[in-house]
Amino acid sequence: MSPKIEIRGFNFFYRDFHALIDLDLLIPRNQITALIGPSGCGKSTFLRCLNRMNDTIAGTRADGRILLDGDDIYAPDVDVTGLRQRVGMVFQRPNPFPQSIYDNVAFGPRVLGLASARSLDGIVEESLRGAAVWDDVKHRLHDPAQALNPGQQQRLCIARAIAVKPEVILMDEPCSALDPVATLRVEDLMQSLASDYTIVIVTHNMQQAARVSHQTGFFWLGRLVEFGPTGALFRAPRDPLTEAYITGRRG
Amino acid sequence: MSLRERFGRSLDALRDDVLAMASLVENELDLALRALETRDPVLAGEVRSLDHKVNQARFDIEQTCVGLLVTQQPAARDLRSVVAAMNMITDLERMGDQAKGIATVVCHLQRTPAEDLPPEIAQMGHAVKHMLRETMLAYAHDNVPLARTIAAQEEGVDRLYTRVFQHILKRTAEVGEADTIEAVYLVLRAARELERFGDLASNLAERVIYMVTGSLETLNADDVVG
Repeated sequence: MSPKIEIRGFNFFYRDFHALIDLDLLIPRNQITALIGPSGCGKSTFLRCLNRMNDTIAGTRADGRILLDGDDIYAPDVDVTGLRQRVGMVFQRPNPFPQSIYDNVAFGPRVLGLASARSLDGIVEESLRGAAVWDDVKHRLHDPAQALNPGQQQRLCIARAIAVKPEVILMDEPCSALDPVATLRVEDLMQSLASDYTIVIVTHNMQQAARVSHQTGFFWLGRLVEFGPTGALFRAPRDPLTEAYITGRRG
Repeated sequence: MSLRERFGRSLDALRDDVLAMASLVENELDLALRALETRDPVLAGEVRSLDHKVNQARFDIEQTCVGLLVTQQPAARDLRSVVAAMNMITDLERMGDQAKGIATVVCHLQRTPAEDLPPEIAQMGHAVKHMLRETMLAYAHDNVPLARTIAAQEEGVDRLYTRVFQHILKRTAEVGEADTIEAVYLVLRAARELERFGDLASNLAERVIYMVTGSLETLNADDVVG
């Protein structure tokens, strides 16, 4: 099967700082790819390059290629809003809009005009079900989203992300603000979403990477040191730097 | 001391515990071989009590391993060290059982006519003890080339066992009395215990290679006749 995202000779700069160096990797479709590494290693920067979120930061520059189903997302004629519809994002802290649960999920379809083709109610319900939060909220869809607990809020944010029918979901430490039970629910959700979406997750929790992902990439000082099947990387990493990091000898 | 250093020391202590258990098994084998050579039931009894200590060591080390897994959630080499230790103590415990099996043979030989041991028995005993020592040396020093030599040593043990087997076939044809036949088969059983001991030493060597390199290799030679 062809990769969902192909990264070739990719570099990224914050002004003079070379943040990502010569990245080459293939992100498989309908799988979960985890990115690990110490703070400041570039993994979140890389994640944000996958839907050009870094474009909003002044002084940044990218070279090399990131191909989404063969299309270069950094090509001059790319519609960035359309790209972000195809590649959605879930953040570290649940960030529901100060609106009702319903309006949070309906926001994207309304903006993108998706509701004309299908019932908005249907999209909202399908997305909330897809994010495993429907049963928690179905009787209070018009309550403020901020009334939900953090785990529910994060699943609501995932529902909001999938409401616009993305192909890829990027998750930047999606469980770091959640308790263990809510974390497990989100991890279960990732597993079930992987059959329909390509998921890329940045996590500091190596057990989480080991539990949920199919592939893991280890970043160090802006370079991708090692990338491969998760089981093999955690059992017997090829690179001594990966070994030192995942065993806690270096970080 | 940092948590990482403390964990490193725990892994060192785990290795020391496995080495100490291997020493117990070596002593058990030594006693069993002496008991067989002298047909001494008292020594055979000492083998049994030593085997209790080996079994207890296995449970103690297993508890340590489970504790390290649950509290440290190790990865990579650390994980392989704990997993290798868990597998090795199971094999060492079985090796203790093989030694105990020889002690049982000694007890049964008390009520049969005297049967000379073929010289290959002592040679097998010497060879498997050497295998255990070398394997533990490889384990103590992460010495993969040394661990790989164990396969050749096991082949030597298998050849000796085949010679014992042929000797037993010949003896069975020679003797007619049931008591003597029982003694002959008890000798074969002792040889079989030693051959299995060698097999398990070879398993230990595989675990050393896995722990150091992360690759699972089979060192065992083909099964021997009998």
